[in-house]
Amino acid sequence: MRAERARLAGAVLLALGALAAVAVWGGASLRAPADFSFCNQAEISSLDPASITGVPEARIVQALFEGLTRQDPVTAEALPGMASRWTVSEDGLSVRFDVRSDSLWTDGTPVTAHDVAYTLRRVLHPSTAAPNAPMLWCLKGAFAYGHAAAPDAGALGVEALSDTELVLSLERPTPALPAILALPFACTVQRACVERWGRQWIAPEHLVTNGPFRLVERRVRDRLRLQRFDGYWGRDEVALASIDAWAADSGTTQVNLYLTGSADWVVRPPSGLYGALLGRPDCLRGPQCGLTFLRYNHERSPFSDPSVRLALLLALDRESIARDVVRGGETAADTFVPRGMSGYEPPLWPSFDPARARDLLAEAGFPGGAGFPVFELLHPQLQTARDLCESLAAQWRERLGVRCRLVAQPWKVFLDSQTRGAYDVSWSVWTADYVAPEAFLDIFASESGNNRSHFADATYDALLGLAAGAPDPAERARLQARAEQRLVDACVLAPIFQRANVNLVAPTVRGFHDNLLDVHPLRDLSVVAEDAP
Amino acid sequence: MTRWLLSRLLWAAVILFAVVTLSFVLVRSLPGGPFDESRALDPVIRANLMAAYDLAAPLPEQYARYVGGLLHGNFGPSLRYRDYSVGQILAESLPISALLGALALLIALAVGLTAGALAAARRGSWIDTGVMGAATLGIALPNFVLAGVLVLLFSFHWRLFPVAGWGSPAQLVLPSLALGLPFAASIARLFRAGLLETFGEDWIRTARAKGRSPSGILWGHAARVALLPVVSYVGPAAAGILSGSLVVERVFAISGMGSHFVDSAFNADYNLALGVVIVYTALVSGFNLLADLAYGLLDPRIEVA
Repeated sequence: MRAERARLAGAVLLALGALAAVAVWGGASLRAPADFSFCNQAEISSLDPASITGVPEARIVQALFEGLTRQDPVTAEALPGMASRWTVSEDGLSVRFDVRSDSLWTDGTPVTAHDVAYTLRRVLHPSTAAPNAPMLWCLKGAFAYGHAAAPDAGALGVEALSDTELVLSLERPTPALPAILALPFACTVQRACVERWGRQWIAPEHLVTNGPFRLVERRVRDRLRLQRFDGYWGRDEVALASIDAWAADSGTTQVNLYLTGSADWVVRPPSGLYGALLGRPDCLRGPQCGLTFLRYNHERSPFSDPSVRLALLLALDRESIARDVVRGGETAADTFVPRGMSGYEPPLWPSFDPARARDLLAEAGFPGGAGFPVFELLHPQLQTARDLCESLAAQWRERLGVRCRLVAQPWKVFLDSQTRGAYDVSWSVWTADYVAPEAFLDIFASESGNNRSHFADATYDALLGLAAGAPDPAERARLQARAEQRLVDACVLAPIFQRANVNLVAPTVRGFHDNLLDVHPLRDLSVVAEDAP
Repeated sequence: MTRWLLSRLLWAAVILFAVVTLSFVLVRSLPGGPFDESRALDPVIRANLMAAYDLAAPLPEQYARYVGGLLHGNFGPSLRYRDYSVGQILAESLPISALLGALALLIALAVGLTAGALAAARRGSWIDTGVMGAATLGIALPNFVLAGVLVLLFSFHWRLFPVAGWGSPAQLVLPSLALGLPFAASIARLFRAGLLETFGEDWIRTARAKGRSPSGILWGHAARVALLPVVSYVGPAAAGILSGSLVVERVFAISGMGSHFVDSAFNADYNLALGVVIVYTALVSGFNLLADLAYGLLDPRIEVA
């Protein structure tokens, strides 16, 4: 009996010991809460500015690094960043930047124009394989540089004249250049750090940054802790001493964190909770520079017929879709390039007209939908996309007598199908990186990889080319509107709704402004006491 | 015994190799690639990325290089979390899943064995009916529902534990309960059934005749035999707890391996998907081996050799 007990006690001790070992191994540690916490929607793919494309990555990279310009928290337009000012030459083909001399890297060395020049060359270099490099092909010689087997930096229009002067030469006038340089991929990286550590430069123990915050801790799929960096030129404008970015990707969990006070900001709460959240004063909504639309596969019959494409569009009550199906404050789209871009008046697309839709379908040889093939409506495995597509299918069936089959695919498979043209009609979304018509119009250029509809129109391409080279903004906008009219006339796509920003922001947060790009630089946020006015 | 152990380990290695090969073929035949994003990549940039991550070579060549890397303990870089190697991600997430799983298993055993013993000792009473009713409910409830109920009660209503996160002892409680309680239910049912069967044995009657107390008979004699079905359940269950933690990890924003198990496939992160499969295969083999060993220790009539 005694031996039994001893064995039992031994087993219990062994179990407890194993548990303790696992607890130490598991690294369970207590940590003081940060000044400000937010849910960053997902674990970021990288901290390397040149590698990233996503919005969660952008929030962190723009807190850690800064490029020549940065985004205005109110308007999302370009503000001085590492460059205190810039001047554009009369012909618009050269831009001179004055780089600040009062900003440091986190290793204590000053940020110079040479670092900025190195950064831009690195983004364009083929070995970096930066996804956003094409945005800088407006720089002189950039395309050839990015496609050469042995790139020649001397032929690239990037030159640091001194530690504080940088000149960029352009292929064509590019009014959006300051806005492009404010994007995360153009954030300045330190040449010494990248060259010393190679691919490991991004490891937390090696990382050197120049932005308003520095990285304190990074736990994959858990949290990032940022701390204010006192060597940053605008340190007096940065109110938050520390920030936690949660990587939680479940929308419900994000809302739970917010409602229990563990997070101060949640981006786009799940639509299933809209009923409980949209009426709250801390739920901020506004228009976004983004569009949800349908792509038609122009190579497949009957969608190669413009009358069929128009009939399908006219049969959709986009007002009721925006109001009753999507419900987040989105507005029915009557343009392709979203409204709100100063100096650009987009042409209008035809509005809901079921009678004309039926006539057009009959003219196309499908009276009352008779003989119209059952087609596939492709969408990703997202609840919002499925809800929308179910509504579209019901409206087409009811008003035109045509039937479609919904095909839901995981995100990557969906993109692959769209790119290969393996669809009839497809749900699509496009959001702009910067506020300019070309950010939308370029996707339907014949050679664009984003076209995915097999639409090709030489006149459209020519108009875009002319607009890109036009130095006068009014002339540029006029040419762009003519190009967009070509899309309307051929009903190349079906705009459904202009997207909306939905943010849950704690009442104690200040400096949070709604804007078209839904960007909210962390450097400009602050938190006040609960009882502050 | 040594020969038996060596043969089991050899078989485990063969199974692991087969799983790696099959998984490699399956994961690479999925449509959609790791660099497919909303914005299409320039063809030259895509080609450079493919070359940088060693995805441009013919598949057999990539497979040979991958297996060669594995033999040196190199799982390759993650294609989604590009600042990390798969080895680094596994080293960060496996201890978290292990701790969560260990706590859940502890809860499952403690609650399950106690409830099962209570129900068996009071067979036919309201305690037995109540415990078995609760156990049936526990088995039927999916753990995301249980997790939601726990959050609602303990985080929103009583504000005792945080809703999510990882790092403090308080953050361990709800996810461990959500993960462990459904397994406790199964253990309770198995242990009760095992005890009731054992109570009818002749040697138990002999022990009673010798004057041993009811609790002495239960824990000193019957439990040891009644534990056998529980042990054979706990081996695979331990692996199930580790690999089935996906939902619980998501609900409580815990950065364990469960989320990687599913997301790596959706993200076309080939190396991470394979790395997670390899670890889980090793764990399942290991737990089954341990269960077989424990079998022999608990019941001297069973020889493991």
